[in-house]
Amino acid sequence: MKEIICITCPKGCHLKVDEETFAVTGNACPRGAVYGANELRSPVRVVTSTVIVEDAGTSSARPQTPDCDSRTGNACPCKPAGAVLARRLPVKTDRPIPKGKMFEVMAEINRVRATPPIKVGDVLIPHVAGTDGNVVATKNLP
Amino acid sequence: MTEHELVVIGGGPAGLAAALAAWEQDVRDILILERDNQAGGILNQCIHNGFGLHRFQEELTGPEYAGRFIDLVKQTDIQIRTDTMVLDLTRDRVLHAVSPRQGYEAIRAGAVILAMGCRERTRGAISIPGARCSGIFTAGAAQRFLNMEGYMVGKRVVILGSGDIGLIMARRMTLEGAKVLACVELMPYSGGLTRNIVQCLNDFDIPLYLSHTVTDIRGKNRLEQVVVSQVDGNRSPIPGTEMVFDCDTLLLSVGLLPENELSRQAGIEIDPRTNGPLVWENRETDLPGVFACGNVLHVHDLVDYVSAESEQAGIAAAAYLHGNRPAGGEIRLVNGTGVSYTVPQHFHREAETLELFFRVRNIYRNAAIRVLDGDAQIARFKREHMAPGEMENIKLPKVLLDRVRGNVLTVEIEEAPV
Ligand SMILES: Cc1cc2nc3c(=O)[nH]c(=O)nc-3n(C[C@H](O)[C@H](O)[C@H](O)COP(=O)(O)OP(=O)(O)OC[C@H]3O[C@@H](n4cnc5c(N)ncnc54)[C@H](O)[C@@H]3O)c2cc1C
Ligand code: SF4
Repeated sequence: MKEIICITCPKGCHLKVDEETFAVTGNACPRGAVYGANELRSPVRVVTSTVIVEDAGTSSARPQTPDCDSRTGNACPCKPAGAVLARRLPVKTDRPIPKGKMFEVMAEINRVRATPPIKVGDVLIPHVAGTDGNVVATKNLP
Repeated sequence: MTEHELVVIGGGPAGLAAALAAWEQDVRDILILERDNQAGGILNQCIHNGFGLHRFQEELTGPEYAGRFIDLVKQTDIQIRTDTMVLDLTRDRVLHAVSPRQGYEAIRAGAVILAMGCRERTRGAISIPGARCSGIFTAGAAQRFLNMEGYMVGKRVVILGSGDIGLIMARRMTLEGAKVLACVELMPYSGGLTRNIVQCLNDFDIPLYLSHTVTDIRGKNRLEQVVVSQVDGNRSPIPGTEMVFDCDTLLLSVGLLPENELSRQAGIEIDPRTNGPLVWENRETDLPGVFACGNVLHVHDLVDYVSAESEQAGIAAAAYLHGNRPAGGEIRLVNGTGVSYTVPQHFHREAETLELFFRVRNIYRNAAIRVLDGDAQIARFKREHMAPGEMENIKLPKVLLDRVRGNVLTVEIEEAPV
């Protein structure tokens, strides 16, 4: 018997799952039984992290953000020249990957660099760590 | 002095949603002032997923959630001015702001929406004893350093407080190679969401010490050790229970405080329970034409609720600008047993459906929320589970409100018979 907490809803039932039959007890509703069995058979998680932005550049070269020049169309005048743009690009796996692969995924993420322009959803690492998940950007970098 | 119909202070999720809602109501001259160099507020540093489950029925990360609203704003003529800090707000709705581009400026607004968010409680605010060494950060500051600037703040970490930001940072630092030794919580229950306890602590075998606190901090220049002790029912440390952790970093996740300097300067009445302005059901403060929404009003755990609330404020600001005022006398809301605050704090008798947000004082199982008009119960809502860390909400339909006789409604928790 393994004891886990169901995280499907805020109630947080304390489940007991049989390691062999995957039978679940302690669940107040059927969703807990599904969660409990999956969590023991093959737990999966989404991994989020950041990627180093190559040649982040300075504000004299590129507008600081899409927001601040959206009305004027000019390169952003509101940041002193030389200020560093975004240093990190946030990323995520586009689907949950096996829990045991989390650190392998992190190691791959830490090896890549991102070069703007980048759009939300752009793939940075396909099939990360041999899973069927891709590492994708979660922010636009113009 | 320039003039704008509607000025929104703060370009986080609250400000963006409020501005968009006002735009939908045909307000055409809207200016958002944001002191950071980009819109999106705190979401820019919340790179983890779990945002937008209610709103978009998908699990988005913070930047993705903010990005969706920024994209919508770009399709309108709403102006966002970044790098602009509002310094003062007067009672006749003149804002004083500074920015590198414009220098100092004064702006007169037809209506104002306060959406300044909140900031974190610091070591000073909870007075932790011990050495004044480096290596002590609020969890949110560490989050910004790591996720936006790319700096790890330490290698061996203890976290004080089990709020969501601390839990998220426990996982984030672990994934980046740090060793998180413990998460220490003063209360007998966690202040964070259960899913975060499971995914951020249990997944990485990080122990959670409930009813414990930090009783000493040691270190010459950099932090070297923290001492953790168990506390009794009165939250006093129990001698003899000390545990010593060798660590270089202590992260504090001990709560958020709405950022209301501007509201106070304008003389807006602040509710000591929420630390946010006292508002009507349309999120209008006691200063006519000034509205508040998001974390500046009360601390939210889910950004989805921030967006929904802010839309109400945006719609109400538009109505104000169009000359429509809510009708009916005042009905006050009073906290009964087990309820620590409600938002709104009062409403107009003629209000449409009233949605109430509040927090409970304890963990309850199979309890009920009761709404009383004097001694008479007008509504009762069953709840299988309630906790202080999870904001509650109930809706009172107009048919019920029409039956209210008195001018005070009490909201209370009825515990299940044991
Ligand atoms: C560190 C931290 C981490 C969080 N993590 C999570 C999380 O993981 N999940 C979750 O659901 N919620 C999280 N929250 C809660 C989150 O803040 C809210 O869900 C939501 O972001 C609140 O939106 P908001 O627009 O009210 O505030 P914010 O996002 O804080 O936006 C307020 C904006 O106003 C601007 N501002 C403030 N004062 C001025 C001024 N005087 N002039 C001009 N601009 C000003 C600020 O720069 C900021 O951009 C976190 C909060 C904090 C503080
Ligand atoms: S078992 Fe059902 S009721 Fe219990 S936590 Fe899971 S989903 Fe919620």
